This record gives sequence, C-alpha cells and structure tokens, in this order.
Amino acid sequence: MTAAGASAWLLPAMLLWPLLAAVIVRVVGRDVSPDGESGGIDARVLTLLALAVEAGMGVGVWMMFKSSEQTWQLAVNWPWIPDIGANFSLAVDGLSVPMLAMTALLMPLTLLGSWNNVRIRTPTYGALVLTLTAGLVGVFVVTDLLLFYVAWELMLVPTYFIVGIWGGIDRRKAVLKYVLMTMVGSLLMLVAIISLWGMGGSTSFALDHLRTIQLTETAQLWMFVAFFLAFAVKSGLVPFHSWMPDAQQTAPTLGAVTLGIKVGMYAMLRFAIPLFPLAVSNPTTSRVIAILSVVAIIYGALVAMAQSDLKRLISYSSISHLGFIMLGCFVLSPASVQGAAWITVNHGVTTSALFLLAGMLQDRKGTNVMTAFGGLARVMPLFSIMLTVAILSTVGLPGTNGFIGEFLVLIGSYSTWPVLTTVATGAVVLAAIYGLRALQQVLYGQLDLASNGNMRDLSPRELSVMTVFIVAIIGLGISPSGVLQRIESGALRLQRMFPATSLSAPPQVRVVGTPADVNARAPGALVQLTTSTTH
Amino acid sequence: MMTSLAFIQAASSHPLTGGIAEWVGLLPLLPLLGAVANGLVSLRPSDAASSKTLPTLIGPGVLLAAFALTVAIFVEMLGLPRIADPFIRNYATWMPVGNLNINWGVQLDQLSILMCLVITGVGSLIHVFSVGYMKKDPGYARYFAYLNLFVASMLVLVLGSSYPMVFVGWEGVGLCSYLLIGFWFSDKANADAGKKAFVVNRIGDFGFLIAMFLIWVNTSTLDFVASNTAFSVMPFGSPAIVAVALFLFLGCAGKSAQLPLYIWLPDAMAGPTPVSALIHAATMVTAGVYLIARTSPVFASAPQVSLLVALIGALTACWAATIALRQWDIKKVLAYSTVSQLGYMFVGVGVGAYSAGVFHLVTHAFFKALLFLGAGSVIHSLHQAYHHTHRDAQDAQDLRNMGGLRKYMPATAVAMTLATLAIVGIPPLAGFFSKDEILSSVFARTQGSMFSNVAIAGVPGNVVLYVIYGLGMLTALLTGIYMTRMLLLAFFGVNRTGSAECEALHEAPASMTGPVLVLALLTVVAGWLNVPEVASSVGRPELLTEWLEPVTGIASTVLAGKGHLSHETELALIGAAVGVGLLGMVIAYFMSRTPVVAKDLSPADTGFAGLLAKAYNVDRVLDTIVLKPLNALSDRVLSRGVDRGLDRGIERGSAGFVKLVGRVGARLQNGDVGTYAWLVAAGALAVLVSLTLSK
Repeated sequence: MTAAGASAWLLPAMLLWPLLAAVIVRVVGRDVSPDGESGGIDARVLTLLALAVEAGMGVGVWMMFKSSEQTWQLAVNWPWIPDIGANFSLAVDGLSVPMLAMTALLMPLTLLGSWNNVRIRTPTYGALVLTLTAGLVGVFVVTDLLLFYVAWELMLVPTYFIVGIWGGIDRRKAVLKYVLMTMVGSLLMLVAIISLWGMGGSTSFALDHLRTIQLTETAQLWMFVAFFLAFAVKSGLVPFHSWMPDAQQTAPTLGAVTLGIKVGMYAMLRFAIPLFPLAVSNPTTSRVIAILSVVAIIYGALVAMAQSDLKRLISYSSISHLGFIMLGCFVLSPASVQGAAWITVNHGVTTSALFLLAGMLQDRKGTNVMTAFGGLARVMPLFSIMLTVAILSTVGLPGTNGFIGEFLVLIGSYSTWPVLTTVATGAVVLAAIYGLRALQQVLYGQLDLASNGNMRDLSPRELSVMTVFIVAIIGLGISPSGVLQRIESGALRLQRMFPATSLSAPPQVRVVGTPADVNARAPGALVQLTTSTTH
Repeated sequence: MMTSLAFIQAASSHPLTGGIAEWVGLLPLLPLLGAVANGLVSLRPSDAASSKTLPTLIGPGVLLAAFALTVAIFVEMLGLPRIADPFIRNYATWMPVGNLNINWGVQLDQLSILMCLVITGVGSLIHVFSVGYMKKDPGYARYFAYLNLFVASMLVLVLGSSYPMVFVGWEGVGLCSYLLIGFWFSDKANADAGKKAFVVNRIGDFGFLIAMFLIWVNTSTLDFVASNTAFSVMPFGSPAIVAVALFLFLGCAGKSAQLPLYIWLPDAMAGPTPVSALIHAATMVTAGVYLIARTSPVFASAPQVSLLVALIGALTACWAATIALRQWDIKKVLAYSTVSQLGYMFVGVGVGAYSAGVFHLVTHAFFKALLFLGAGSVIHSLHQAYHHTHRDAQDAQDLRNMGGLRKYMPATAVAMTLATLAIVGIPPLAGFFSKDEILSSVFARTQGSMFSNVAIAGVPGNVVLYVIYGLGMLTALLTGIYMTRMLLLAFFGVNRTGSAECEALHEAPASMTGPVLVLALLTVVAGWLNVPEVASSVGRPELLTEWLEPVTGIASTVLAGKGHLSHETELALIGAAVGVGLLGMVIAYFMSRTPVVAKDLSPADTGFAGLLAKAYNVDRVLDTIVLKPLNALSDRVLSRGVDRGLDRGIERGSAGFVKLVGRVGARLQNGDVGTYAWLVAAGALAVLVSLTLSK
C-alpha cells in the first residue's frame, strides 16, 4: 500500500468505519450483564477492537502528515448533494491532525480504563460509543460546512443516550440541559451556515469557498456571533457552562471524558476565526472575548476551589482552562494560537486522565465526594502517583504538558493584553489551591481503615492505561516539538488566511501602565532586538 | 537571531570546550535517575530489610557521584585563567514556537559551579545523615526518591541557561518541598503545611512568570546572557526594567521567604529534619538570592528596586529575629533564624554586594545545615528516649524538654556551639566574615553610591541605607540573644527530659555525627573564602569576590559607585558588629537564669512574650483577611450564589424554550426527553435523506 493510495481512503475510512462497526457491535456483540443474552463475543471486546483499528488509522494519519506543507492533506472530495453544492469533502491540516490522533487514541484507552464502569446493555453502549467516535472524528476532518453540521449534531445523540442511560443520579435533568443548551447554539449556527451559503451564491458549502466571500463587517459580526455561541456553549464558556459540571458529574466515565474534549475550541480555530476575519479583528470583539476569557479563567478556578465532588472539581478546572484557549485563539499571535491549539489537544489528555481516575474511585466506592476518602496514598500508592501527576499537569507544573500551553498562551497574549494577562496568570495560584486540595482530601490525612482500608490499588489493566496517560503528560511536557511542529504548520496556515496586520505584528515594547519606547534607549542599544521579530 | 549565533561561536571557542565540563549535563541527570530508581523501589511490596539496602546505595550514591563531578569541573575551572563567558550547552529544543525558541540548555559559570558545589556537597552530607535518621521509617525509599528529585531540580535551577529553564527547577524544588514537608502525610497538619508552602510559593511564581513575559516582550529573548546584555544597555530605572526587577523580586521573595511571603517557611518544619536542613535552610530557600545575583544586570539597572530588595531584606531579618526570641520548638527557632539570615542575604544582593550575599549564602548553608542536623540528632535522641519509656506523646522538639544535653551528646554539643558562634558573628568563624561583609557594604554605600540618586517613598537612598544598617545591627543583637538562648536551653543547665528518660539519651550514630562534624569543620574554615581587605594578614583577601567577578562584577561596580570605606571605619564597623553579637550573648546568659520547667508544667506565654510566641498572630490575621474572604468568595458568593443563579436562569430560559417549541408542536411535548432526542435525530436524518435522494 503506497502512501498515495492510503491517502485516498484513510480519512473516509476513519469517518465511516466506526459507523459500520457500531452496527456490527449492536448486532453481534454479547451483553455481559446477568440478564443479557448468551453467545457471541463480549460487545466491549468488539468495541475495543473497532476503536483500536480507528486508533491505528489515527496514527497512520499522524505519520503521513507532512508538517512542512501548510496545505490541506489527505484530502478527498466526493459529490454528496450536488443540487445545493454540498460535498463529502474531508481533509486535515496541522490544527486537526493532533486533535484527530489524540481523540482516536483516547477512545480505546478510555473504554479500557473504564472497562467495568458500564456493565449493562453493552452492545447498545458499544454502538453508541462508536457512533460518538464517528461524530468526533467527523468534526476534525470535514471541510464542508453542511457535513460539519451533520457531524456536529452526530455527537449529540449518542452523548444523550450514554449519559441518559448509564449516568448516575439526576442524569435525566443534566442531559436535558446539555442537549437543549447545545441545540440552541447549534441551531443559530445552522442559520448562519445557510445564510453564508446563500450569500456565497448558493453553490457550495466548502470552507475554502465560503472564506473568500466578500461580506460587510456587520454581516460577519452577526454570523460570527452565531458560530461563537454554538462553539462557546459546547465548550462550556462562562456563563454558558452550567450544563458541564452537572453532565460530567453524573455521566459514566467515558461520557465525562468525551464531554471534556474541546471540539468547540477546535471548531473556533477551524471555522469561526478564518470565516469571519473582519469580525474577529474588530477591536470590540477582541476586547469582549479577552475579558470573557479571563473571567472564565478566574471564575472557573474560584468555583473549582469550592467543590466537594472530584468530578465537578475537574469540570470547573476544565472551565478555567477553556479561558486560556479562548484568550490564545483570539490574540492571534503565533505563540498564543499555538498555545491555544496545544491546550485544546492536551486538555483532552489531562482531563481524560483525571476523569478516568475519578471513575476508578467511583467504581470502587460508588462516590466521588472527596471527603469520603483520605489517606489513600497508604493503600493505593500507584493510584496516588497517577493522580498526583495528572493534577500537577492541571496545575501547570513545568515538565508536564499543562505548562507548555499556559505558558505559550500567556506569553503570546502579554503584549496585546498586559493587564488581562496578568490577571489570568493569577490563576496559577488558584489552580494550586484547588489542585492540592483535591490531592490532600483524597490521598493524604488519616486513612479511615474501616471504610477505605481495603481499597484496591490499580489493577494491571488500569495501571497500563494510566501509564500511557502519565507518559504522555510528562513526555509531551518535556518534548512537545513533535506536536508543536504540526500545530505550527496549521497555525501558519491560519496566519496566511488572515489580514497581515494582526498576526505578523512585531512584539511591542510595553510595560503594564507605562509603554516604553525602544527607540528611546541609550545609545548603543541592541538594534536587532527591535528588528528580528519575524523570520 | 544574531545573539544566539553569537552564543554558538562563543561556546565553540570556550576554554572549557572538550574538557570534563562537557559532562555538566550529567549533574542533574544523576540524581534524577536516582529518584526514578528509588521511586520504583518504593513501589515494591515492602519486605523491611531488603528494601533499605538499595535506596541506601542509590540515594547518597548518586549525590556523591554528582559531587565528585562538580569538584572535577571546579578544579578544571580553577586551573584556567579568568573565564569571561559562561559555558553553554543546549541538549535539545524544548518549546520551538516562532522566534521564541527555548532549549533544554545549561550554563556553567563561576556562580553556577559555586552553587553546584554547595548543593551537591551539603546535599551529600545530608543524604548520608538521612541514612541514620530515617532508618526506621517505612517510607525510606520514597524519602530518598523525593530527596534525589529535589537535588536534580535544584541543579536545574542553578544551571539553567534561560529563565524558563530556571523556572523548571524553580517549580520542581517547590514540588519536592511540598512532597517532603507532607512526607508524613497521615497527619493532616503536615499535609496542610506542604500545601501552604506550595501555594505561597506559587504567589512568587506568578511574579516570576510575569517577569518572563515582560522580558520576552522587551528583549525578544529569554536567555540570561542575551537578556542581561539587552537590559544593561537600557537607561537606568526605565519602566521596563523596574517592572521586570519588581516581578522577579516577587518571585524571589516567595521562594526565599521574605516579608510578607515568609509565612510558609516556619510551617515547613513539619517535614523530616534533614529536609529542613537541606531544602529549608541550605539550598532551596536561597534560590531567590541566587536569582538576583544571576540577573544582577537587571537589578543594577533598577537601583530603586535594588534598594527596596535590601530594605525588605533588612525588615525581614529583624522581624523574624524578634519572633525567634520566644519560640520553644527548636526547629521553629531555627526556621525563623533562617528567614532572618535570608534577610541578610537580600540586604547583600540588594545593595549590590552580590559576592557578599552569595558568600553569606555559602557560609549559612554550612552553619545552618549544621544547626538543623544537630537539632535533628537531638530530636532523634529525645524521640527514642520517650519511646523507651512509652511516653511518645511528649514533645521531642520543645526546648523546655531538653537541657543539659551536652553530657549525653558531647560531639553534637560542640558542633552546635560552633555553629551558634558562627551565626552570631564571632570571629574567626565563617558567619563572622560573611555577615560583616554585608553590613560594611551597606555602610559603604551610604556615600557616593548609585543609591544616592534614588528614594523610596520620598526618603532619600542614603537615609534608607542607614536604616538598613541599623536594622542589620539590631538583628545581629537579636541573633546573639535567641541563638544563645537556644543553645543554653538545649545543652546547658539541668536536664528536663525526665528522670527515666535521661538513661536513654545518647549520642547519635556515626552516620549522623559524621556529617555534622564535617559541617562543623566547614563552619570554622569557610570564612577564609572571602577575607576582607583590611584583614589581609589572615589570608588572601576577596577570593570569592574575585571568583564571581565575571558574573556580578559589573553590576556590583555600577551600584557601588565611589562608595568606599577607610580601613579605620571598616575596623570600627567590625568591632561594633562583633560587639553587639557578644552583647546579645551576654543578655541571653542573664535571661537564662530565670528557671525553665518541662513543657507540660510551663504556663502559656502571655503579654508581649505570648505575642512573640505566636509569631505576632500573622497566620491568624491572614486567615481572617485573606483566606476566609477568598473561601467565602469561592464558596458562598460564586459557587453557591452566582453559579447556582446562572444555572437556574439557564434552566428557566431553556424551560421557556421548551414551551416555545411546545406551542409549535404541542402534541409532541409529552415531557419525555428521550422522545425529543429521537425526534431531533429522526428529523436530521429525514432532512439528509430527502436532500440526498433529491439529486
């Protein structure tokens, strides 16, 4: 199989294979629950195999992608609904490849890591997980807006059932809120997509075509707001976040993990920003978004400090981290965009690790209330190491993947928003407070021998899954360049699409409050400092 | 780009190229590997005997290897003529983003090798001491894993060639400090203390981060050499430099426990005593002093910030010394003493006497590590004595339960006495030379230095310097009092441990007294590292200042200006400093005539003594004005107020939305969400199918 041959089928296969596999799992898979039918292969095993194949293809895309070429790669473009110009067009670039590979690898790991979390109606569960995978993959590979909308909504239905059937207390209410809130957002986006299609001559939904339509700033602003809301709600931006802690608290482990993947922020970088450059570079827009981002960062961290449930704490920490992505996306400096894309990917790694660990506690004890534990470090040393590393990544300790993203976003945003960035940096203190509080309540203190003395440490299955996550957290923190190179090729692409002014601006010499002029330096000032900004 | 090219050329023609210095990367790597190995050992199911051998070999082993390598590199550097530029080696790229290109790089120069000598040297001694001290602890391997990881991080901190590299070590040592303070995590107080240390340090780290952003925005580099060069050509006191220096100082104040961020250090004593010696006295807490010396061109270009550094240092020194006067826990006395001595170091680097500040860092590492290890031996002995008589609840750290220990622990008593004399500043011990150099530098700067041109809050720099000098002298007096008090209470007078326990009191084993005696020797001789000009008859003067000249020389000269002391003045200052120290000792002697009884029989301190014993109630005040409001904001206002309100608002809004949909299709609104979702799916499918078929 040559690379050229594979490039023609790899992306369609990644999108369609999970859907096919879903049918197979539903029909052939055996339910392991006591009242399930007998015969056939365990549906979970089948699902895992199907997801492993998907992960293999994800790795294939990762390997075949050339960071040196800032273009769409592995593109396919099949006619779909010619009457309206909708095409089945798929392609990847440097922004989508890391998301795609991360998600493809995450799914089987999460299923394996939460193996006994779902034990009833497993064939249906497996089918829904695979359908959800198709939706997620779809969002990362489509370049046609109508197809994007389909994939976007395709994520919603399986998530609804996964949380609604296998969730915990209050699952119905939580999932209803999730569905309604995200639907309002995506309906607005549908309206915007259709009007964009109309303004572009009603001939095509292709992203590259719609980007070139000449629109007034007002028109762009309206449509941008619709897209922005859809993506912001889906990612849990304050004040549209309230569905997220509720849904993630009650969801089964896999549901909580997939809800934590920042598809909305990917879509922001992929669609909302390139489609509406005038709206994005409007000073009011960028100011409002920067303020919203910093509010989210601080608000999420402060509310996380007050949580008593581990899953809710992770969720609010995730809401706080979303603010960093948002801040970085819209500052549009090279470091900030790459930092934002980095967090979008790595948040998937870290938050998933945390939800898996929380799920392991829940599987053992039936609760995630942190005060029900304490002193677990004594009986669960392996679990303790894993939780500590994952929390440190959330806290942004250098040497973990968490640091890279925050550092890049903040250093890239500083010259544009010195005061707001300084406030945002204050979150490092708050993150330490809620992160270490979680460690302390769960791992340290007196062990309640009667109720927690016989908590089992990680099983070999759990240990191997978590080891992958911990290796990724530290490995990516120490050597991020493989991912950063790919992201950079995508970010540079975004940069080229954009009016030159905002992206290639040299770093300005600024200090909080008092701008200092470089040229006012003493004689002999280093000239290259002011000139060697872009190359 | 030009600047980094210049580096490559400089590095390739560097005098250290091709020599043993090429192995500098091994320095942090050795303890890191030790940490990983010990970590793996600690995860083995514990069978008591065999699980101690391997950590004992690995833990101190990697440290001794690192020390040997450091010495070899140091000897090589000594053999060469003055090395003007740092020796830089980049091992891999870390964050390559546009022109922000951060490498895993180390830089070897006179300052970093000196720090490495202290870290690996004192570190080795403390690792060896720990073998005896932690012998019976079930977490033996875990302890050495953390301790090795700490040394690795500390070496990254002092060897890093750029701000982000230093930040890796900076936060790494904070993490290890957190883990080691809470080492005995079953006790909530210990875990709390660890958390407090990390969080307060993070306030400092916030400053470090902002400083990095400012440096990047203003100089387009984060490497020390390039940014220091860039800053040294900017006008004095320009806003950018002042801002960078202020935020860097915030970082330093957090790590090195200066006002008002010192509050974590006394609590940090919850960790095992060797940890207090290594991390919370000799090495990590001096990182702030190191960083100011490392970035001396920045601070020298912002004289007003430098003066502020010195003032905060002096205030901290004095403040902490007063608290130390009335502490009963032997480790708390030493902790406040450490805060106080760190204050001296900040005075030194603040007034631009960088080599004096670093000199005091080195001598303090010796005598304070000695004091802590000695205290550790005492605590160890008391613990065992109380364990022997089944009175484990008795406080083994309280000075009131000690007394007359010199009879039972003669070697420790001699060593502790030497260290006390050193910290009080009695010649010819190490502390005398270093403290004296700081104080006389302050005095020298009052005339004709750069500080004459600046002011703090309207007070001219000269006046501020006199205040700093006064505070320094007052601190010297207080140091004489509280240290002598501690020494007398612990080792002299009658024993108050208990009649049955006396029998069990004994000298520590050789693995513990050995390192203590080595440190005692260093405490005696280290002063000769930097003998003042005026005492050139004793030995070759200013060796250390000369050694550090390529790193801090220019900045030091810039700040010092024409300020110089005549020999007569200098001798008078030395006399005065020694005089107040001796006076303090005499006062403590007279105070000690008031009898003291065992802790259980003592009434609580009242009045001013009580206020001092409770460290001015700072923790309680901060709890009331910072922590409680923050928690209330987080919990009551935001989590239970705003967040719940938003949630309700959204619920009502979405309920309204449902009703709206319901009005359109009232029949479908049967309240079952499942139906809604299926309808959405079916509707979407129908649209797609119809569109697909219609082509």
